[in-house]
Amino acid sequence: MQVSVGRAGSALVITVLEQRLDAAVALTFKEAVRDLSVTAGSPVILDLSRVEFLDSSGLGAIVGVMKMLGPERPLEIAGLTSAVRKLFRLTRMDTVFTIHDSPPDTVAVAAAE
Amino acid sequence: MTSRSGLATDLRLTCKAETWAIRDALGAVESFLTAHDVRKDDIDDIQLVLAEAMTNIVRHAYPVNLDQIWLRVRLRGDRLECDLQDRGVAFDPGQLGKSLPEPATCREGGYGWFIIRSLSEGLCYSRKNGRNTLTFSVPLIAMT
Repeated sequence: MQVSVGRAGSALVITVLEQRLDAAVALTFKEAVRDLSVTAGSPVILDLSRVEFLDSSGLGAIVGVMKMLGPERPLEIAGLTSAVRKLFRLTRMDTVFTIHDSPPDTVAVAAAE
Repeated sequence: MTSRSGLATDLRLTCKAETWAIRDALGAVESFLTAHDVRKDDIDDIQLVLAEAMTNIVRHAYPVNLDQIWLRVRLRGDRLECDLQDRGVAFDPGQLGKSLPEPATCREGGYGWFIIRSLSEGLCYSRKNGRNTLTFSVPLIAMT
C-alpha cells in the first residue's frame, strides 16, 4: 500500500498511489493513513484520483479513517474516478463527506514533521 | 458457447479464497469482458458485485480454512449471468442488504449485500451437497 503526503494551505493531503482500494489492502491502508496523520494539518484531504476501483471494504476503511481522525480534523475526499464516485453515490456516502472534484496542488512535507 | 466473433462467451475460473486471489480473478473477468467490447461502466459494476460476493465467501464461508471459489460467468444477450460456488459454511443472505445502512451512522461495514442487490438481478442462494451456490445476473445497460 503506497500513499504519499503533502500540504495545501492548512490542509494535509494524503494521496493513495494504488489503482485498487479493496479488501486486499483495506487494513494496510488504514494503518498507513494512521501513521501519516501524525503530521499536523486540518482538514485531511484524501486524494483518490488514482484509484480506479473501490469496494465496500475500501469504503469501510475510509469511514474508519474519518472516525479515527475525529471531529477536530474532518476528512474530505478529492478526485473521484467514475467507478469510485458511483460507489459513494450508491451508499450515499457522498452525503457524509465533503467531496472535491479534483485534488489540490500540494507542497511536500516531511513525514514526521 | 461462442459469439459471432468466435470468442467464447463463457468463462470459468477457480480461485483461491483469499483477497489477493480475488483481484487476479477479477482481472481475468475484466479481460474477458473487454474482449467482448463490454463498456467500462458495466465492467465496473460487474467487478464490484463479484468483489463483494467473493469477499463474503472468504469471510463467512471460509472463516478458518483457506479453500477455493468456483466462478462462472456467461454473456447472454444484454446480461452477464454469474454463479459462484464454495464448499464452506452455509451462508444464506436471507434479508441481508434489503436496505442501505443509514449514511449518518457512518458504519464501517454492512454495505456488501446492499451493493450486490442494487447492481444485480435474480439473486438466488442454494445449498446442495455441502456446496453454497450464489447465482445472479448483471444487466449490461451500456452495451451497444
